[in-house]
Amino acid sequence: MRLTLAALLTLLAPMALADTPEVIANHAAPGTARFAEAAQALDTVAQADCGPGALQGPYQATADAWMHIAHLRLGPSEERGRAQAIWFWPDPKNSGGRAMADLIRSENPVVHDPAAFGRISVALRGLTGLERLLFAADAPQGDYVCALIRAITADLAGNAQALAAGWSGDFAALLDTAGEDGNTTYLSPTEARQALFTQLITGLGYNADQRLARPLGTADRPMPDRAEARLSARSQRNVEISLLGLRDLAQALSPESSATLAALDTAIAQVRTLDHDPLLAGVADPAGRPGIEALRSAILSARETALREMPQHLGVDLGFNASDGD
Amino acid sequence: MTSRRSFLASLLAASAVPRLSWADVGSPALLAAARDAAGNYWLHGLSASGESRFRQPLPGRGHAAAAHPTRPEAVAFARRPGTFAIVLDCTSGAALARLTPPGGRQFNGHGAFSGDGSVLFTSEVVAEGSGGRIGLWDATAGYARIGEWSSGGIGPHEVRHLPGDGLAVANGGIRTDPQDRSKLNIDSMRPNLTLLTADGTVQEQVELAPELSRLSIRHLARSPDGELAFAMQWEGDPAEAVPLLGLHRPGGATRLLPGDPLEAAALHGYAGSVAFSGDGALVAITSPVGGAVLICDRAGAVVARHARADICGLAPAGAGFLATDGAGVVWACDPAGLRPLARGDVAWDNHLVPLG
Repeated sequence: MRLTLAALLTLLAPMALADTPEVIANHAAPGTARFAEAAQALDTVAQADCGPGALQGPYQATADAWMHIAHLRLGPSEERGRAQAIWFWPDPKNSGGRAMADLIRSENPVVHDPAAFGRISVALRGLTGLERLLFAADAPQGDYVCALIRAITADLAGNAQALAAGWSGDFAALLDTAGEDGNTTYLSPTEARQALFTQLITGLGYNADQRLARPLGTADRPMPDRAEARLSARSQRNVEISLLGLRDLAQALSPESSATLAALDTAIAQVRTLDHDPLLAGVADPAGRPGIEALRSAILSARETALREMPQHLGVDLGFNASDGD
Repeated sequence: MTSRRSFLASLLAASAVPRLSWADVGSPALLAAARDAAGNYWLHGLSASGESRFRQPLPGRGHAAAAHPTRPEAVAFARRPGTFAIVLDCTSGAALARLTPPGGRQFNGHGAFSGDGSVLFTSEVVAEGSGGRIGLWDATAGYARIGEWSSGGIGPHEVRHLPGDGLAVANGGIRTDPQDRSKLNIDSMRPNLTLLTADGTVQEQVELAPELSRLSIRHLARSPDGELAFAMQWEGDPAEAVPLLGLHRPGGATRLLPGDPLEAAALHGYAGSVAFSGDGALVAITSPVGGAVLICDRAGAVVARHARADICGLAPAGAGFLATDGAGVVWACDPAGLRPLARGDVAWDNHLVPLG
């Protein structure tokens, strides 16, 4: 068999890929594409049948796909608040619940105008808005609510599609051409790596300081009601899938960072020991709390390890000003 | 009565070599502190297009600087809790004076000259309790300490000179541990913007609504037509998207921006610097934490938000702004976007200080 040079390069390409291209090819592009497919499937079902029975399964699949890549908070995810329009949490003042109640009470016709719906508060759109309508025991029903569900799934599918398009097109190209003439977003390949490294660090911090620290509260005053996605019973699952996604990101970005990958594996093993507690209700239970605290410690430890190990491989650091402002 | 001694002194001064001016150090438009690749700290003078016109070494990480209005002298302040400030001769790099706060006081990173350059004002705290003080130093006589005023609050940060020799002071409201900067009073903090008259009397104070009492007021800018802008940092629940930019017309109303929580959320509760555009039509804040610069018009509408990691320094420039980041880039910034002007192998520190 004779190999052409082009074919040889194609075969070698996966090995030759390093950091930024590999994050795009192995994590961000396929992950956002899977999310877009899931959101499209959810919308297709919703347009045919807006009942919770039909929608809960596709909802969970879409939320799974989102959690895998939700930490990528740059580029298309940051345009017009797209990430928050997909998933708005935490919402300590229940602005989403209140806005949704107002919308339903007044039967606001905005649900029949897709463009206008894309401009209303992010707090009542997206998966977190939909969760109230599909999973709450006292969820409102009726024709208007059905139209609202369909407006949310259509808006969500559009946002997911835009996200996937960015990561397979314009935004991926921007990262890939870092340092080239005309690229004023990333002035060097190091800046692109730094942007991706920041997503890993921020994503780990978000799991520890929001998803876990909010319900943990203090030992004297745990706050189980503050856990994420309790209605859809995803509190533990979101952390697990997020950690798997972050491990994918770390692996693609810096496969030689073995201590970081091992620390992430430890955290993933720990979150899996909590799969009997989907709501993380154990925060308020003396028998359950240590396991959740141990998970938080494991995540923070992985973050510390990444901060110590990865900069030397990637030539990056956290921002001079961002990490020590005044 | 003129003594023989002071008469001789004034004669000496008058007959001395011609006074140097900022033109002798390349007519920089701005000052900025930086860390170089080897980990050394410098104060740079930058041209309006972002090129370094001079640099002089600093003994440690700087924060902000104050530029004398006429003489090529800059006061570089150490970061909080600051035990020193250095008056640099920007032509030679010589330290003209080393300012040490009086016992039990600490510098807080910022200072400003009076309009005629005769007095330097420094923001200070009483180490125990963080009570705010404004230190007064005689810039005509070797920077001797000549007095101090109350800042009108706790933990003052930026201080800005106003026409008519009044001062605007951002009292951040945070009591900090004098050793490690840890915050001691987040539950009860009450920041304010204080306007002082030329003799240090409180003329006006602006406090925010109780639900926003955890917004630390830290940095200041003044528009050509006299409106003040203040940049804030949120010490409350990070999940709450709160406005981080205030506009206050002395004697008048206060407005908080941005009104859109989505725009506020992009700044991650932290504004690092604030400036009006050179023509005064726009006002902007940077967030190195959110990696963004947010530009508003004077009516309060958000006109643009641009993403850039670690962006912090901000200064007026024409119809827009100049901005600096931790990756060594000086940017031209306007509603259309960010355009790189110059790039060096340095990390630009928090602030970009305009001369004049």
